[in-house]
Amino acid sequence: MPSEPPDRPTLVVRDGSRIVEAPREDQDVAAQYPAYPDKGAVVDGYRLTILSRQGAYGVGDPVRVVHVCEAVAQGTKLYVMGPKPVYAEYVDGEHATAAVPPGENALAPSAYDGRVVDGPAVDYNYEITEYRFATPGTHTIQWRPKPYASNVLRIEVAPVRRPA
Amino acid sequence: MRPSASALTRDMRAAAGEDAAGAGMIADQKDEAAPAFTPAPAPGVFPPNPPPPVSPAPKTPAPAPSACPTPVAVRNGPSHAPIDTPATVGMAIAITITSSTGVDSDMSTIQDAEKVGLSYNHTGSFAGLAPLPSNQSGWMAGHPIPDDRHTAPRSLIVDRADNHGGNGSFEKQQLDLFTASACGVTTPQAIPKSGYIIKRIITTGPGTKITFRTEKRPAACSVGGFSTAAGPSGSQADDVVVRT
Repeated sequence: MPSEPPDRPTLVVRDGSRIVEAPREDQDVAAQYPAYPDKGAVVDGYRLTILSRQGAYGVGDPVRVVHVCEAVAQGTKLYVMGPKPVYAEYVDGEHATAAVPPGENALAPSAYDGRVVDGPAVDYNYEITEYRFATPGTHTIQWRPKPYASNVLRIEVAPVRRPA
Repeated sequence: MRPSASALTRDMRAAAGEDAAGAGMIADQKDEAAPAFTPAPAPGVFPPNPPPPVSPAPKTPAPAPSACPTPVAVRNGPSHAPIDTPATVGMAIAITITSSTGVDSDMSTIQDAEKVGLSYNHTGSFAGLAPLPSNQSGWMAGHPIPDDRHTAPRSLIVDRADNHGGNGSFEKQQLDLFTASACGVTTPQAIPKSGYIIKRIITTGPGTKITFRTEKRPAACSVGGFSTAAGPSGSQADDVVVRT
């Protein structure tokens, strides 16, 4: 469990059947959210935003994507237990994660145990996705579980791998 | 000497794996101290003198309120209601954290997170279902706490009942963690007496009828390396008729 609530968002990841604190770098990315300038558009009272470490990436470098769902309106609810799977994420326009299962609401899991928070509120409790690009250039990532759509991350990948 | 509840929890956690625990996790919470009553005289033996007039027994003084409120238990209910939508079935239930001060609203000063373990004890039509993953909430103020929702897809219940053997059940363990920076508690700890087991039960018949019960009962729990004793609230349940 994170040892520094509540100043920073809670960000956890799965490690087998365990849930553990996400790496510090991911926590730092999530902490950018409140002031992040390129948040997703609001759809039906919810705003989806994805974030990644800013700066240069090289071919083969891991690009880790943090997912945030903000309920911006009264009457909305956030299913804050997780980390929840990220459905319908697209990389360079192609499906990169599973589609939303038939009959399922991507933001309100039907198989669920725990707290449901009234909006306005922010939920960081989604899995962190990771991609590596084999070709240089600009690559795009978007989380798009209909009818919602996040901002589009544009990742600039240099021809050579960035020094560690 | 009977092992203590904590010893049982520790041993069983080691035996069953980090997240898992069986029904036997429900540890006996009774103290081993001498019974708190006076033995009655043997039959036919009377006191040599009449007992002195009985004055009102002095009340045991309530524990002095702690200046720094910490959680001492998590209550479930008494408010609960079935969830019965086209997509999901289950139960919503109220959650309240009990403060060491006796004033629930004092828990607004702490941070709370809920942990729910991997499912286990799959029986009957749920026996072939892979364990459902554990989950946890982010940190939130300890008062007021929103209701818990315990739901399952309606389609899953019908499928298990029709195609996997009819009746069945599974369980999950739940507990709460807290930090209280004002009290110097900055490392997450399990809230004492916050343990509950969530049980899902499919009952089929008569005919094509399917009933889905969501039940929550107090029990010693161990989730994600944290352990706690049974919560103070009694067993509560809601039934939903999934198909008539």
